[in-house]
Amino acid sequence: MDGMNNLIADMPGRSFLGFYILVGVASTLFLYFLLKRADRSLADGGRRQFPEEPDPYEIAYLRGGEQELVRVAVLELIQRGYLEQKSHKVSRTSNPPDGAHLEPIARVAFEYFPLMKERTSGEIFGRAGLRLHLKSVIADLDHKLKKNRLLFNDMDSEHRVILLAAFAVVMFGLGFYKIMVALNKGYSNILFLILLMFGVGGVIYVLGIKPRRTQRGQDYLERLQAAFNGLVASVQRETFPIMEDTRVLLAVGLFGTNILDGTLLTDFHSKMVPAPDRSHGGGCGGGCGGDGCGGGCGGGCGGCGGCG
Amino acid sequence: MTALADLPRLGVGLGFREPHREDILLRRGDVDFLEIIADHYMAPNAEKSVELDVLAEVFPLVPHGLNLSLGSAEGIDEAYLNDFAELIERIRPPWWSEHIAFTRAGGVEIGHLSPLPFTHEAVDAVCQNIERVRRVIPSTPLILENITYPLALPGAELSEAEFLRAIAESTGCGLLLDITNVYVNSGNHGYDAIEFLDSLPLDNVVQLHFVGVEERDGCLMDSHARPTPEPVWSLMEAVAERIEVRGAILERDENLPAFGELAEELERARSILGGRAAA
Repeated sequence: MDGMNNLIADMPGRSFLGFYILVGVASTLFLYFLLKRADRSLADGGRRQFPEEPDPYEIAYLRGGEQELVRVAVLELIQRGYLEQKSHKVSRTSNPPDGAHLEPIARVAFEYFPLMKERTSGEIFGRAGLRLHLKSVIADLDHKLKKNRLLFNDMDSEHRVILLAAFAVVMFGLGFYKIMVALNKGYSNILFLILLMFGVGGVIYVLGIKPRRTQRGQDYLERLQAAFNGLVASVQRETFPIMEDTRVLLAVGLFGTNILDGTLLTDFHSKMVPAPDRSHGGGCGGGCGGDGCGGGCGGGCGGCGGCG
Repeated sequence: MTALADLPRLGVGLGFREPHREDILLRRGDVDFLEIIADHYMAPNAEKSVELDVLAEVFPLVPHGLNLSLGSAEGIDEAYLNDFAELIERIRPPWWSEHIAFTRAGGVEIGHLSPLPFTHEAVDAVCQNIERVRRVIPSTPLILENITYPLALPGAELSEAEFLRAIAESTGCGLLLDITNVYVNSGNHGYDAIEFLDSLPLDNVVQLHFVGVEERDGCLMDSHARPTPEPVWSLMEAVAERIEVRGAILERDENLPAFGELAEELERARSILGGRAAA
């Protein structure tokens, strides 16, 4: 049969497995290099300028996505006396200040809380919750961060898919070809090769996880976290009036609500918990700290596989 | 090398201390520039390196050395000097500063800024060391700070002002005039601070240091732990009447107050000296 007599087809099974592993490892390394190199955001755009007035909402969204932004919004409204929290429920205070004094995101968020009705944390952080209500402001923010090359955009995703597809074609093509040859020649010892092909699938799955932040975004976030890491200790020592100071919002935006544990706002951390959500942009729960999602969020951040 | 008269006017700033980092970054309008302790950023770890990058991005930085030991008769510690040069290359400050003092003798680190005797031999030692320093750091001006001395060392051939003038004129270096040290020395050694000012080569004064003092056993100490006292503000006014300094740094190290208190002191200094020149 044509195509059944060549170096690959004639290679003994054990030798082919070694060859396949070699090609697989080399291709994986090459693919990893290409994927890394494809992110030119930092090399081309340079570092993002350190902000004069860091925006807790932007930082929270950059770090953890929609749910982290929602947390900052609710926290700000509680801090400023618009909302009050009772266990898992949040409602308007009896006499909230004029909403016109709020910045746009907080103002829209405030509208989500009806008069004389409580919202549970499940409602607030649910799919039809506050993040849906904030959809347009979140979209604007997302667009801004993508435009500034802090988050990956759709074109970056296409490039990623093309590279992964090429890898898949090479590795699965080679594997299926050898299986076909083996079966044609009457061999049935193809189990190891099939297992290796599952391994290839695993590699594609892992490398296919789309990171949210670009290198530029990661660099920006890490610099902010390094510059303001003293806020964590300040919040936990309560060296400033924690219920009023806007630095708390910045600290939560940067590091998540874990830092509120043991403070006057500990209830906010423990009760205002998003439901588990595996969708991208759903955030990493109560705070991935300095690592964001890139290096794995550590404890308490389940469901963050897709964050990057 | 930039002539002293051509150095930029940086305004009024703060000696950077880590506990105030967040406040400094969030209240940039209160601080025109920062003075960093050079020793903290020599071969920095990752955290200090990021900190340095951020500070350099946001503020003009001036590195201030503690251990170059310009007064050591045995010469300069080459490794320290090279580290200092690397830092200067990295942040490219308009100038850098060290003390007229020695911190090392016979290869032993004293761990303290020790005063030099006011002699011609000591002037020569400082000048020789500065010559060596300039071979390694040729293009960034070095300015020299006057220190306090609790005891007048015997064998002096010059007055303190003559000593500073001799070094400044021989080397062409600028002066970092610590007006708190002037106040402390004038009090402890019984001379008139204004007369002292007038006997200095004021055209060489580039920058000021100011901070509070403490009195212990009838002796004034530059503890860097108190708010700037009125006599030091008066000295600043006297300097401002005579020359236009390029920068002034509040050098608070201990007993750190809330940032707002430091900002008030900076604002007062700014009202006396003027702020940063428009770019």
